[in-house]
Parts: sequence; structure tokens; C-alpha cells
Amino acid sequence: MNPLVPGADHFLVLSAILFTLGVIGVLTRRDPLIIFMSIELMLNSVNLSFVTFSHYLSSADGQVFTFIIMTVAAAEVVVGLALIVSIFQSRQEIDVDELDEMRG
Amino acid sequence: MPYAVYLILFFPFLGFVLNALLPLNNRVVSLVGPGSVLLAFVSAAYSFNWLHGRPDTPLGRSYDAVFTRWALAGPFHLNVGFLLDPLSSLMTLIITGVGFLILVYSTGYMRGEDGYRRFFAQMDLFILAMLILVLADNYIWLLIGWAGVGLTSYLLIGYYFLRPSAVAAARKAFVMNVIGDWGMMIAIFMMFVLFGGVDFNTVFTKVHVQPYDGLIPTVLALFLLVGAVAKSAQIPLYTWLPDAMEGPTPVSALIHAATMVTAGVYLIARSYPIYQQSPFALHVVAFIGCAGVVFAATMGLANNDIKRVLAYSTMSQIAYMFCGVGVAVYSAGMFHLLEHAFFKALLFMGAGAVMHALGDELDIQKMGGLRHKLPFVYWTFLVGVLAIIGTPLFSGFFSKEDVIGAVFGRAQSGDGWDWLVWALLVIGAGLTAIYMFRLFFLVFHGDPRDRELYDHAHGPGWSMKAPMLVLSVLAVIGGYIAFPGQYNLLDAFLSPVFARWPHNGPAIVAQPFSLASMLATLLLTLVGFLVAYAIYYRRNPAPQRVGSLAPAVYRLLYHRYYVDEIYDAAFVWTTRTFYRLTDRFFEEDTLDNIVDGFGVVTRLAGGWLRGAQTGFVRNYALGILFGAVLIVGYYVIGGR
Repeated sequence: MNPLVPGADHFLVLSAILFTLGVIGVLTRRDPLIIFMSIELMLNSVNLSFVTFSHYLSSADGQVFTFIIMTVAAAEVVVGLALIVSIFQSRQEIDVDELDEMRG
Repeated sequence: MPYAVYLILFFPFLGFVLNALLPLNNRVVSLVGPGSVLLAFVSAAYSFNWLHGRPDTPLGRSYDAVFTRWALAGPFHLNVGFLLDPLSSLMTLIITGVGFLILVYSTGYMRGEDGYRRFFAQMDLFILAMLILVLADNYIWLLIGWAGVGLTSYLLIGYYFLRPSAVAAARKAFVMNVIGDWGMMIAIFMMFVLFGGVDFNTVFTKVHVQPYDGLIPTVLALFLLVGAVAKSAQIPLYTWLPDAMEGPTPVSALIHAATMVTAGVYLIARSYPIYQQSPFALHVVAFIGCAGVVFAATMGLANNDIKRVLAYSTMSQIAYMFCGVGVAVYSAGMFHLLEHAFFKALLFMGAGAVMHALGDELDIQKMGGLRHKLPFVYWTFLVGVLAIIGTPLFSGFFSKEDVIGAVFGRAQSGDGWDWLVWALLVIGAGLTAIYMFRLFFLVFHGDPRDRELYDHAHGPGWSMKAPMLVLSVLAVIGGYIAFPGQYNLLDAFLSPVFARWPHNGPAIVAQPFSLASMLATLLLTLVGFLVAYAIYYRRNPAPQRVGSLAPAVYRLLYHRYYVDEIYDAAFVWTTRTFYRLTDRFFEEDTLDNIVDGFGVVTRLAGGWLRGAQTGFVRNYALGILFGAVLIVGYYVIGGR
């Protein structure tokens, strides 16, 4: 792997780094907005690897998946933000560790 | 025109449908109920006449009207067919004729009762079922009619369904009859398996070539006998009949005296090719009969319920019929069946008129002296009593003489057991005279024992009197179709039926008429009458003293040999106890614990698993991550 010429490996490593960052963000932060952003980061890292494979395998399938993921992500943001807002309105605080009504 | 056979069935069916479905008023019901049966009687008489004009051969005197093919299964087929032969024709005449008279009587007796229309609908249904029973040309339709009369009997015994005793009696009758239906069904299954058909023709043709005294005819005959015994209230399945008197009196007269209870006799006569192949089964029939004659008569001696005395008398008289068919003289059994239908229906009508007059009082200890108040009932009842005890020149004399003479003739050539049968029948004749005249004297003679009841007594109306009058005439002259030792028109008429499948075993030597047997019967009847006359008319010795002569015997008879109690202990109590024990030990200790066990296990597992549900969102996220890592790891390391 030539470090100066960007190849599939570079994009995939970047994708993995972004995904890991997203995972760490989801697992360590308590602010739902940050968690949300981390999830978006994970989705986009996957998009990146899809596009990479699409390019190097000369297939449009990956690009199609990317668009689907972006659409779903947009819809998910709408639902998720609405949930967060309504939780905040009813409880005046949005620390996810406090949201434990479903504890068994 | 043989299609009159269908009309015999159609009219009661029409009457039933009209009465059951249309909101007719009582006057129309009084017309439709008896009217439909009258039309059926006319059809039956027409069929009888048509049959009589046919050649006097077994096949000539038998017409099988196939209505439609009903069940087809491979080589097996079953018709909805009706067999018109002298035997079934005689039965249709009895059922519709006596049935019509009793329904006319009912219009008077049931006036003002709740459920007047229901009563007539059910009576019409009963007559339809009974006609199906006797006209069927195969055992399946015979069983359908058999169960149908059981059902209508159940409904009509429980007619006063607000009275717990009536409901209990109805249930008892139904359960005991179902035991009989079970026996018949086993017999029918056997016929299907062994002979490949259940119509009379197939069964009789095939059973006729079975070895004489073989296993198959014997078992078949005994299973059919279970049905006959249950329906005809013979030992040991008789205890339902006295209780069945809870129904209205016309029901007792029609179903529990004249027609339905005699179906067992008809069944044996109809199945004679099976029975004549098995001398053992015939002996069983005769023994059940002769034991029943004396057993029932003794229970009638100490009973104080006017209808129950008649019920025991019915059981006793049917036992005579059993003896008649039990010695293979089927026409004698049928003869007594015919005459019994006349005089027993008459006696029940008389009892109904007495009850009507006394406000449904049944206890003969409270009656007495009613001959002044109810002269018409007195005289017709006397005719019935004279007929049933076999007074010479009354109908019962000829038919009972026919039965006893047949047994006597058989005893001369048979083994010693037949003498026992004969002796018990003669003793039974004497007992009949005692209990019937006891009833008669207690009800109609002496001083009134309950002034208030006596003073309010009123005679029956014409709708009740007219049928009683007709039956009184029949109870006198009905027997002249035969004269002992001279002629027997009924036997001649029925002989084509019983000549179709001739006897296989040792030839039966026809015995000449014996005067000795007749004189013995008459002597004991006279003695019985004198005993009853002394005790219950002259009151010397007084009835109370007779009872205290042998208190143990009197108590035994009064409590009907404790048979009801024994049955209760042996069957009802054991069944109840068995179920109580299973309820306690199987239901509570076993089943409940198993069911509870499922709950306990589920709750334990839940309590253990609930620890996983921490409520921390990031824990779940970590779980998802681990899951994803596992799946990815699987594909990276080991997967394909």
C-alpha cells in the first residue's frame, strides 16, 4: 500500500476510524443530542465504505444503498429529535442515564 | 295402494310440525293433535286392509316401501324403507288407534294446563317416532325410532318441568333407556361387521344359516335384549317406569302402558329369526319375563300411589308378553300386547279421571267410596280390572290364556325350567287379581277417608268419557279374535311373518290346548280376588292387620325391595364417590399442581432474566455492539 496514492484501503480505514468514533460517542456520552450525532457519524462511515466499494468494484449498488441510508437517516432524525424534544418538555432534563423507566 | 304406508307417517309428522311451529290457539290444537292421528289411523286401517287382500304367503304379506336410498358406502347401502307386514300393520293400528283415543282424552284432561300446544306437539312427535320404530325395514331406522320414543318419553315425563321430582324422573328414564340404546347399537355394529348389512332381510337371511345355538345369534340376541329390557321396563332396568308416572296421566296411558314400553316385545318378535337360533337367549327372555311377573306384582301389592300400582301392573303384564315371545310363541306375546293396550290405557284413563276429580291426589289411602261420585269411572274401571285379571270372556282372559297356555305347552315337551316359568305366570295371575282389586276397592268402595277430597270430587267431561267408553268396549270384546283351543285369528294373521324364516332346531311339537292350565290360572285368579275381597272390601281381616302379620315382608314390598336404594348405592353413589375422589386427588393435587407449576417456572425464569433489563440506554447500546461484534467476528474468523 502506497501511502501517497489514496486507494481503497485508505477510505476503508477512515471509514473504520469514523465508525469507532461514533461507537465511542454513543457509549460514553449522556447527552442524547451528542449520541444522536454519533449515530449519524456511524451511518456516514458506513456510507463512505459503501461508496468506496462501489467505486472500486465498478458497481452502482453501493451508491444506491448510500442514498437509501441517507433518506432513512433523515427520517430517523425527524423522529428522534421529536422524541428528544417531547421528553425534554415533559421532564425538563434529558440525561439518558435518568431515562430508566423500563428497568426490569 | 301401498303408498298409504307413507301417509301413516306423514299425518303425525304434519300434526307435529303444525303444533310445534305455528302459534295455534288451543281449540285448533285440540283439532290438529287428535285429528292427525285419526288420519294416520285411517291410513293404517287402509294399509291393513290392502295387506289382508294380498296372497297369504310370507312374501305376499310383506311389502317393503323404499322411500329413498339413504346411506351408501361401497357395497353397503341403507334405505329409508318401511316394511308393511302383518306384524308392523298390527302395531300401527294399535299405536294410531289407541293413540287417537288417548289424545281425545287428553283434550279434556289437559284443558287449562300450561303448555297445551307443547303437549300435543310432543305427543304427535312420539306417535311419529313410534311408527318409525315399528315400520322400519332396517335396524338403523328402528333405532332412530327407538331413540325418538326415548326422547319424547323424556320430554313428556318432564312435562311439569318446574317440579324437581318430574325432572329427576325424566332424567332417570332417559339414562336407563340409553343403556338399552347402547345394547342395541352394539348389536347393530355386530350385524354390520358380521353380515355386511343392517336391514332385516340381510340380517335374517344370514343369521338363519348360522349354526343353531351358536355364539353369534346368542350374543346378538342378548345385546338386543338389553335394549328390549330397558325400553320395556323389565328386570333389571325397570326402576324408571314407576318414576315415569310423574308425567301427565295421558302420557302414562299412551307411552308408559299401551305403546312405547311394549316396543321391547315388538323388537323380540321382529327379530325372531335371531332369537329362534338361540334357545339360550329365548330362555333368558322367558326367565326375565316370569321373574318380572311376580316381582312387579308383589311390588304393586304394597304401593299406595294409584298410578304406580298401575305402573307395576304394566311391568308385570309386559313380563307376560316376554314369556310369550320367550317360548317362541310370538303371536301370543303380540296378542297380549294388543289386549293390554286396550285395558291398560282404559285403567290409566280411569286413574286420570279419579285424579282429575280429586285435584291430582294420588294416594289411594285418602280415597274411597268414589263409586257414588264417579259412577261412570267406576264401571269402566271395573271393566278394565276384570279384563286385566283375566276374567273369562273379557279380553285379558284370552290373551293371558294364550301366553300361559303356550308356556304350558312348551313345558310339556321342554326341560323342567319351563314348569317354573309356567308356575310363576300362574302365581302372577293370582297376584294380579289381588293388587288390582285392592286398588279398586280402596279407590271406589268403603267410606271416604278424606271427606274434603270426596266432597269436591267431580266427574269427567265427555271428551274424557267417550274414549273410556270405546276402550271399555274393546277391553271386553277385543279378545274374541281368539278362543282357547278353538280358533286364533291373530295367530293366523301373523303366521306369514313367522313362517318366513322357519325354525332350525329340534322340531317343536305343537301341544293341544290344555284345560288344566286354564283351570289352574282361573283358580288362582279367583283365590286372589277372594283375598282382596276379604281384606279390602269386607275388611276382615283389616288391611292394617295383614301388614303387621309379617312386618318385614310388608316393609320389603313397601320399599320396593330396596332396589332403588341398591341402585343408588351401587351405581350413583360409587360414581359420585369416584368423581369426588378424582376431584380431590387428581384435579386438586395433580392437575392443579401441574398448571401452577407452569406459572412458578415462568415467574422464576422472569425474575432471573429481568436483571438484563437495566434501564440504562448505554447498556443496551453496548449490548447491540457486542452482538454486532459477535456476528462480524463469526464471519471474519470461522464463517464462510
